[in-house]
Amino acid sequence: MNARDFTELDRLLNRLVDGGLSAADETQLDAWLRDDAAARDWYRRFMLLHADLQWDHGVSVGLVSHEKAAVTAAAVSVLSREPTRWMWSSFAKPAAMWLAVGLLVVGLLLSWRLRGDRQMLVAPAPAPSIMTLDAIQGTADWRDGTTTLRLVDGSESRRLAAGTLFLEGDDSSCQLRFEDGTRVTVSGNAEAVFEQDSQKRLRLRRGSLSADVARQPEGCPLVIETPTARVEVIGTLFTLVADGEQTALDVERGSVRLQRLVDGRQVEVHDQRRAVASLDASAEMQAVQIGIPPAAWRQTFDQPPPSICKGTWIAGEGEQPSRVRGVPCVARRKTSGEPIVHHGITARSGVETQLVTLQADSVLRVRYRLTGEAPLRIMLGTNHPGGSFAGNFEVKLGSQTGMVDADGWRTLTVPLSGFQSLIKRFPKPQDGSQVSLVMFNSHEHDVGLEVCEIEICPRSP
Amino acid sequence: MDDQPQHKPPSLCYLEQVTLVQRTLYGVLWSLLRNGNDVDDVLQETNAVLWQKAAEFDGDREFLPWALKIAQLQVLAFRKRRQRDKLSFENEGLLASLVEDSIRDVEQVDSRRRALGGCLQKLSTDHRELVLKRYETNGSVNGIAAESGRSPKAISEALRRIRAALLECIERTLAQEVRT
Repeated sequence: MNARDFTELDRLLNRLVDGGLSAADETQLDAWLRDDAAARDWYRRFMLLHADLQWDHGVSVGLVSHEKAAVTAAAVSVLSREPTRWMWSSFAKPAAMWLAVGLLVVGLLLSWRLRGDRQMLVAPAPAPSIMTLDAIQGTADWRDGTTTLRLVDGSESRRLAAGTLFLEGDDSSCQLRFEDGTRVTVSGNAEAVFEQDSQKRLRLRRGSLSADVARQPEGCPLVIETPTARVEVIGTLFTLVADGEQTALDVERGSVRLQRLVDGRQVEVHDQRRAVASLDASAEMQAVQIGIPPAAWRQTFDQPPPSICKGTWIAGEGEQPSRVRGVPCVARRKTSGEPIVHHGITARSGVETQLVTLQADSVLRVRYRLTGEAPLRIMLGTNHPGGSFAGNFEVKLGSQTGMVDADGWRTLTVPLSGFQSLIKRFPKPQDGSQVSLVMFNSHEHDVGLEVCEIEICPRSP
Repeated sequence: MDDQPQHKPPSLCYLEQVTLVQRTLYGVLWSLLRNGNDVDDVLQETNAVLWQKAAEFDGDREFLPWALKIAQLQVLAFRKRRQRDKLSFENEGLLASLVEDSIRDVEQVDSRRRALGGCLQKLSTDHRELVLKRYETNGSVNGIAAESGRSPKAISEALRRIRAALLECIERTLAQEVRT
């Protein structure tokens, strides 16, 4: 049984099957299931129990009668439903004959199944490992079908069987390496499935994935699927960013074929080019040169920020500027599963763009205020110009840092050199790398953090 | 000229596969649709498509993942018809995740079902009868409450505890089976 406490989820699920689940409850349930793999697992077990009880009418009433009824109904529906009427006219007699044979088989199978219920259970053999964990930042779970493994700092070099990676927290990242040297970096709130038989197969359900792919065997490309696209890779360096509606592919080196699932259209994406596959089949699908973001970027909050950013927007009034207030976010989890919650804001680029290009003399300026005291932290997520992951970097601050004005607003300036690496492989921010994410939060305590301006730009002369 | 599609009758082996996956499809569809009538409708539609696509099935592939993918598409089509998309499963990714997780764990389905039979026997008579009443045709919390003179809330709470006990018992049974 899962060690997590699912009391509230349990109540929702019971209301779901017994009546009394409101639309708001259902929305909450879906959000929960979308973001939490363990909750999804619990949900499926619960619904399977409910379906089994429903199917059996309390088991004793009769497996056989229900099963026969279901298959008979299914078979009859084949012949009676409007969309399949053509079948009747074209091969009524053969269909009826095969249906009769089918129902005979059903009877035989049912008796076989009842015997099969007494078959001995065999403990499954451990699955072979297919890859190695190279580095981990933040909280990650690895599910390989029967077990869930918590990956933490210090889990490096662990061998992993085929399974699903769940990353939690915008600043989380995980680097994995296949036997042939193919490196995959998954970052942000992400979920990705890794499998390998004669070829490597990945499914990125959400989040960002960069891969430096070693030359793959002829006829066995590495395949990655997202909710909206499929890519096949022979050997290249690229990044995919996917959500439920679109997938952006940036190719740094080599070439990748991107297929839009909604209509099957494909486009070949070469070095330093980008293509996007969405659910909109009328959108033109083409590979375009990856643009270089400007060296200066400034975010104010006169308008509500895009939904991919985090924070509660507050309209300006009087002398007070418009701003965003920090919201709770799960930064990572303790080994017990208990979440560590920070309170902060996030500014990030969309699927297709980066915020700003870093230079050696870049500085970050932020204007903020607090109602209490707690350690503060600013984090930058960066990518190489071709889109591949270039590391996460942070700076830690005290609450009193920066100059303060009469309204309590502080202005803080941090040079790029002040940021520390969070991943050994990327020791410092690279000149020319691009920022995709800026996080500013208070550690574990809500101190009413509000931000009215963030800027990254070259240091003024 | 006859432009009707040529239909090859399903093989016995194919019919056997369709039969064997009925209950698993039913269970997965419950997690995707959450409503018994909808589950019945989509299961029938899925079976109709499975029948039509018999000739397309490659016998070297596993049948259940293929059938589940067809069921998934039928759920999407059903939801579009019902215009319920805004009420649940706002993104199709969640639906796909549930189907993929079900495919991955499919080997456990029969074990869970067998374990459930034993766990039901371990319930007290009162609890077992409550489960039977709830899951008999047209059984409902309100109906049981009216019949027993207890409040619907009390019945719901009792069912919640019983389901929790059954889930725990199933997990314990599966863990013991793997150890032995």
